Amino acid sequence: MSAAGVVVFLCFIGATLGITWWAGKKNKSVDDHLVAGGNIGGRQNGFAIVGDAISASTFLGSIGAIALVGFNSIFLAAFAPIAFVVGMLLVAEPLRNLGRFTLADVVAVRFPGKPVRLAMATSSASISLLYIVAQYVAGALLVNLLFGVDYWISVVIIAALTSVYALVGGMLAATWIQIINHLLSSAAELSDGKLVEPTHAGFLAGVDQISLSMGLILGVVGLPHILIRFLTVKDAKAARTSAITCIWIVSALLLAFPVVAYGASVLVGSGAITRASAGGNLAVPLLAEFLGGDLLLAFVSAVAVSTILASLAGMVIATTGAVAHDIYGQVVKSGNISQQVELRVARIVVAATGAVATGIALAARDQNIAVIASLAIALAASSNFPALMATIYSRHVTGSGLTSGLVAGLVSAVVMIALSPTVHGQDAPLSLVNPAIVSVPVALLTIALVSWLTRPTGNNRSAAEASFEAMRYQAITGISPIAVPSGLSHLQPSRKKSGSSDLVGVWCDRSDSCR
Amino acid sequence: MNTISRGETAYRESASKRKQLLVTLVPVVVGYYFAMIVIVNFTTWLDGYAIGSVSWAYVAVFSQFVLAVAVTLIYRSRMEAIEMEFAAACSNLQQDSDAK
Repeated sequence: MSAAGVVVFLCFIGATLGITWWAGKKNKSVDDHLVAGGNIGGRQNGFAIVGDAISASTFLGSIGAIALVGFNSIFLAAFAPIAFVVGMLLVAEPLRNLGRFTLADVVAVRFPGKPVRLAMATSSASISLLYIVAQYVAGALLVNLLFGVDYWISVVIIAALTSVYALVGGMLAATWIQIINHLLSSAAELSDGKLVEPTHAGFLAGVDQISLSMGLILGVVGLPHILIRFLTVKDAKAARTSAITCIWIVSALLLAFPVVAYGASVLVGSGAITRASAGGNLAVPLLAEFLGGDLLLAFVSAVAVSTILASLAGMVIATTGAVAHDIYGQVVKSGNISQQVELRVARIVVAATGAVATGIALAARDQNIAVIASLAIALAASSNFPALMATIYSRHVTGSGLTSGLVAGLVSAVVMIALSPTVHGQDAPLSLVNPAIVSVPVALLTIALVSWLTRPTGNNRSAAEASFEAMRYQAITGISPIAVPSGLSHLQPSRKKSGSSDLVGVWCDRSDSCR
Repeated sequence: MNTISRGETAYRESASKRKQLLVTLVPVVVGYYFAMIVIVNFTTWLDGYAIGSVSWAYVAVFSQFVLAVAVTLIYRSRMEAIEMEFAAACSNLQQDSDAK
């Protein structure tokens, strides 16, 4: 890396640390730390979600795969707008109206028992930790490749920066770092090249493509660090604006991906791309060097590393919420914990997450990053997504059904990946690379079956019905029916707004009934 | 009909309209996306070139982005209409309640 590259990279790090210091001064409570006090604007949050979603694997990996493999790899990127449309339609608004800090909070509105919260929190923390490890390994390899720094030093640098962002700046710093990262990523996209035809690799490859796409779409709608972003805005309308902003930006951004990929393929050449990285991950930096020399290479490299750092800050906060708020605060302490203590525990968990992920990343240097990343997204699609859908939309689901489904989804996804070609290569007992086409139905069927076996009767059935109706009411209006016991005429707005379309969510006072 | 029943009716109507909207849009979006993958992988329908070196498959994939943006516009306008109707119903109920 040239001196220009080092300067560009250091400028980015300096800017992000400045944001962290500014955010740290405003970061005084658990609310501030985990969900930025719910004060992020809808459009700002949309930009931040893009920063979270366009990770290094999307930015470098998808473009590299299209450049080397051709048209069919475009589905590695084309799923994103569809995933966020599904997220907007099914989860964004209910999530905002039901949740406080974490996904387990959403489920707990209907199933307040500890086993369900523990299962959801464990699933969320495991997914986030796996994702963090994958990003640490990918980031360290990239820093190692670009700057010639030793792998273990690279891991420590990335872990230290991520921990500082999350520890000092919390969600507010993560949000602004993600916004800046997204703006840089957009600027780093280039254009030129030709477009080619799709390829037909046979029946099994086609089924695998469907399974992969299913896993990616449902995985995004189950990823904790993406979903908790909808808890950082003030109401459901802002959550909707976030999702719409994100969909528009992602759609515009992804239009350029194949153009850049074929630009790299034509100008740099497949041979040179493969020699630099067998998976094609360095196609974008190589194209930047070809077109703009050292300075453009430096800019693109800094963006690539910053993409990893930006995504990581959100993941660490998602892990922190699941461990500090759900497992320690609500399960171990049964909710008897002060805001100050929870904030202190949250900060300890940030440091612990960094340390654990660093340890695993140092040991996992020679592991295939795709194994870790695919495991994380498959777990999200197979556990969190079915659990959220069942909680929000299924009248007949029970707490036992939900917990069983979460476990079944996790286990089936892990077993299938363990037997897949991702781990065993061509001699794998299973031919499917991505397990979603099997593990998601397994999770949903388990939820349905166990819920039927444990269906409530008599008074318990009436209580379960009432609980579902109360949850639906809160999911739609943002008002907890516990605080409004006898009909709409008793509701009083907590914040006055001029537009009547602001009704839903506006009446919800975040400090009491809805939180 | 008393105020509470009318309030519940307004809420139920609003919930039903939201459900109807989701039941319409989700299958369209998901169905279109997976139909595209099936057609690309299992047929040769999209193999030819549409304009110059741009294949029909690319046109189809790009149409997904257009579909995604169109769905956001439809969803936003329909949800705003549903919320305004609900807000108007609630406002009337509040006025009736205050008058009593």
